[in-house]
Amino acid sequence: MTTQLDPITFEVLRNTFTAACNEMAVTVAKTAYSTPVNEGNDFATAVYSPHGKLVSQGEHDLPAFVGLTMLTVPEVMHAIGVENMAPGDIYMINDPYIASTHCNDIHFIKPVFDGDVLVGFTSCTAHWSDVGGVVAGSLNVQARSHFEEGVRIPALTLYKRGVLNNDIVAVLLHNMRQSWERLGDLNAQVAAVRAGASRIELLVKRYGRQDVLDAMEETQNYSERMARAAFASLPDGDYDAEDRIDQDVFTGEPKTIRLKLTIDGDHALFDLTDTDGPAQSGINCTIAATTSAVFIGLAAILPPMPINSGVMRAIEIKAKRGSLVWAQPPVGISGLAITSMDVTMGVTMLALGQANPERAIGLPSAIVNSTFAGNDPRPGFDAPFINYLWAFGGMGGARDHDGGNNIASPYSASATNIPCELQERRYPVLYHRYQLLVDSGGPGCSRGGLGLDQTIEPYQEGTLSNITNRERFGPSGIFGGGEGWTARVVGNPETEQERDLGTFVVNVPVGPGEVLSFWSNGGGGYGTAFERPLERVVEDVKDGYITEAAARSQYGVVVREIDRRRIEYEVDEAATAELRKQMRAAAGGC
Amino acid sequence: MSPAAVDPITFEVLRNAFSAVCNEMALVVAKTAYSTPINEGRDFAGTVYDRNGKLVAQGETDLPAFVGLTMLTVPEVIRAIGRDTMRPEDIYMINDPYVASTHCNDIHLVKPIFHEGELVAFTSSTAHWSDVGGVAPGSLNCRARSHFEEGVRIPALRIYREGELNKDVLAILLHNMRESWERVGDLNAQVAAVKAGEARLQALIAKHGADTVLATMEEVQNHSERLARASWELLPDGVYESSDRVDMDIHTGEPKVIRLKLTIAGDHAIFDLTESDGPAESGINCTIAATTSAVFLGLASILPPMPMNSGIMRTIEIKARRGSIVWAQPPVAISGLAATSMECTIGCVVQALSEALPERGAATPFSVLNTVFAGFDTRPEFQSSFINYVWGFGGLGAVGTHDGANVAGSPYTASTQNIPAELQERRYPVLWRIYECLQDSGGPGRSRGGTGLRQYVEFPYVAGTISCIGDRERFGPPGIFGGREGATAGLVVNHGTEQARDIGIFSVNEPAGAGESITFWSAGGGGYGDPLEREPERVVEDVRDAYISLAAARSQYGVVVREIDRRQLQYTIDEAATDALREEMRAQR
Repeated sequence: MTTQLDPITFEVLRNTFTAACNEMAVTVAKTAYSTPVNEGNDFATAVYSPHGKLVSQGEHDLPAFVGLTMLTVPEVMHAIGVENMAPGDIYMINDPYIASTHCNDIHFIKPVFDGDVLVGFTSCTAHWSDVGGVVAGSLNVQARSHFEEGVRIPALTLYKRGVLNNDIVAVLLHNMRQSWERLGDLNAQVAAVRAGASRIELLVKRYGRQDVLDAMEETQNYSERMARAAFASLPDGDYDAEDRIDQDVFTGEPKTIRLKLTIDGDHALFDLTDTDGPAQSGINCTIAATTSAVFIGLAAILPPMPINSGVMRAIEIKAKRGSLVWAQPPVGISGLAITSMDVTMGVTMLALGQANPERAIGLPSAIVNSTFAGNDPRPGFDAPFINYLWAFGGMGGARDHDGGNNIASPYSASATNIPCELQERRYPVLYHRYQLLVDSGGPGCSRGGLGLDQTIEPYQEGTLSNITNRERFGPSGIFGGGEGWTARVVGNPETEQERDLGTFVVNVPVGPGEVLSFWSNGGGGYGTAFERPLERVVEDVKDGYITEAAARSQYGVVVREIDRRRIEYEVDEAATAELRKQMRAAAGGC
Repeated sequence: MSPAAVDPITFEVLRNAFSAVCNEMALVVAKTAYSTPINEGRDFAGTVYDRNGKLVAQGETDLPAFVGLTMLTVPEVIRAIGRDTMRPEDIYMINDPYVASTHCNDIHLVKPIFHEGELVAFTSSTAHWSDVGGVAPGSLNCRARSHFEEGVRIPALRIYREGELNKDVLAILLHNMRESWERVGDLNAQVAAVKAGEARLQALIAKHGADTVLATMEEVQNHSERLARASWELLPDGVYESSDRVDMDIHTGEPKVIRLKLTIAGDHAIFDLTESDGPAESGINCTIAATTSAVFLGLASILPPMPMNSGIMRTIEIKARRGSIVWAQPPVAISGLAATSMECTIGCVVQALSEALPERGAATPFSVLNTVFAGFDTRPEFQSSFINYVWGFGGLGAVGTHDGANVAGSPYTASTQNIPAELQERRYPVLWRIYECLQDSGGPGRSRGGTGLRQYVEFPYVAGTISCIGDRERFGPPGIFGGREGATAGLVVNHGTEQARDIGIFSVNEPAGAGESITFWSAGGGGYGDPLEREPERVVEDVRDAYISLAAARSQYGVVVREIDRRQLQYTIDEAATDALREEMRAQR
């Protein structure tokens, strides 16, 4: 569609849509009760056209929500019926199989009206700390069906013309833990979509309905043009990639996701049809999450562009209904974020990386998702608690630089670390360590970033549930780069009582007094390690990122310590040249 | 209006009419609900309440287990919804175990009845939905640690507001329960039932006048109160103590004990359960509503017959400790209560009352085995998921004048029916091989306990999962006055083969392959009186009927029976040997 909008007004409106999202984000972050939301930024906000197309998302949003929110509003329009929508309505949904990720991610959607004309939607998605099910925190990797994972909410009208359907709230709160927190989350999200809607109403008032609608459309056209230009700049062809989830915990076998990417002119086809069938445990991916995963992978490798439904026009995603990447009810899905969704993002990055080596990176760490839950009897608490903690890890190495240490993966780029001090204040835990894991980054010409050693000691007994991938298979390197370290969750590390707690477990009794370590992955390396410039290897030794032993065994660099306290090291250049020669020969003489 | 205003004839007509209203509600539910436990198993209740939520009448074919608890349901609905906001076309829904119900499967619909703008009564329908979500298909999850693993918990809410269905609430419920098409059928059946009940009540009001009907609702309760007080008067004043054990809290392996101190003082009784154990970690905690029901069931099975309603409540007091095993507080798990803590509470009441009234006393009955086989039926004509919920009847406790019934519903579930094997085979991928009285399972006694039931079911077509919640796998139902325990219950996969797996009766989602089978048997009832005093002729009759074996006749009853011709059922008693054996057995005590 061509538009009459002048470029200045277009840019003003386009950025204002984003500003409306940011305002919603501030609202939810400042008022929600769930720690993952108010401290962890595990939320998203968006503005949609009256056709349910994504126009804009907030700049602080969780990337994981991007693709899926494109499916959320159309589903709500379908289920509620546009003709039934009215000012004052607010809709609610979390149904994974149609429009979302796991049940924790709750979407609130408000239609925006100019008089009686629908001019768009605002939405706010946030991760509630608990939505019921077997595991406190609702991440149940051992679920065989969604009945074990928490409350599934179809699209429904929470507010009808401004009147709350109290009975809905009552049912939800009776089936979720810490229901007072849930009520706070609900009210925060209601406030957010109302704040966003009032911004859009103001825009309509100031610029006129038609200009706003045109700008919504043109924002998508703009992103479509950028996406098409990006694909056109890549060589046409087929690019295959595959990666594995460690295990379906009920069979012990890995599950494989296979992508065939076809770039054809200004268009790309992401074909996932050769992916494995459904898993028996809660690691299946919903189609909404699969769509998000493709978007995140694409956003990580292609040049920056505003992500909205316009980008969708430049790509096609194919998958088999009922397969691992298109879950059908009632298969378990609550662990998808760290497993199938993360791996789908990974294969997208790997395939696009082949087409675009200058912007390619090794695979990032999987997030360590753990929930420590129990009852805190200390005076002043005397309440059940759900301490949800995630650990970031190493980013993959890129052509021009090493992977970032201990940062969120592209998948959760907006999420922030929840400070130890705050965790200790809210929950009965004491932090022993929060430090980089030496040698964990995948070796490469550009090294993968380092993983994180997070070690805590609970004051109270409780239960631990983990959903974390890459305990068996570390994040792959590319172009000859090595794998990052695998992840582990360990009780009483480096003592005689040391035990592997595993990363696919639910409700394991722990503590008090048992020290718990969460070790996340290093990122995958880029290019062969023995091509890494000597001085960068020495610098890594000086920084404590790698040991002297690893410098020798992985990089073929013989480093000698002169004075450790003064950080003085020297390279034995002759020994290094000899060692690297041997390594090149062993690698096939390249 | 004073109760005296109702003449005795009208009173009897209306009192029975209230029951008829309930029976009609029951019929509506039985004929239209989709859940097999409801339409075939009769696991439901229809009830009429006065304007204050006091129970006036229940159906004659209702599940007894629902009696006491439905006394709590309507008052909770009144409290939560607010009497002033109730409207004629409203229908309320609730299953919240902790305030007003048993396990989450039991769904209550409650309809307010108005006359000339005034709230005058309520009708209610309770039914066991085959599934309400949670980990175990069928929602009976004895391993649950909290209600979050047991299914959807529904606080008192308006499922219909002034005639308009709250579609969004229904949508949430259906998205969180298995076989949701069946659930819609169950809901509609219950809606039809409470409306049918209202129509009948309105007809009674039209015919007899509101004043007379309301006065009779009050007088019906006074009547039962008088009957109950007369019963208590009959019994000797005193303190009667009893206790019973749930086999185990599956997460600790330890039994849980329920202790009752019954005090009868004149025309009043106190059931004091405060010495019962603390909460269990698994799904065997009892809700206060179920505990109340258990007390009612126990007294109904021992005291002379009387119409059960809130009038009886005025003559008794139930004491318990909040948070204990008989008064569960959220979020402790409760889905297995019906087979465990609730039955043991009944057992305690039966024991204590039996001591006070030996001539109506009874030994303890079996506990119900709730077994669920679930999966996906891949056969071409089915192609759908299934939940095959099977309960096993068992042996009743013996009483002074006769043996316990074999393979009967317990007092707790007296109204329920066996679901025919043929129907099970038609609806589910199962094949019934054995459904028989289990020999030697009745507790020996002067009156013998009833025999348990053995069932052997094959899964010839598809794989699935098995869940079971029962009790009395370790401790059989106690006998009384010298009678012995009934035999214990059990559940074994591939029984009698090399692939046998004893998964027991506290199991959740145990895999069963196509071609495997389960054998499960319920407990026999406890015996009454000394088995050595049982007439040898009755022992030999039991041998003829195959209720007991020759060996048991000798070892349990001290009766030496000789087989003459088994096919012709000819046996004879060796009287000399019997006398000698019984003397020796008495001497060994």
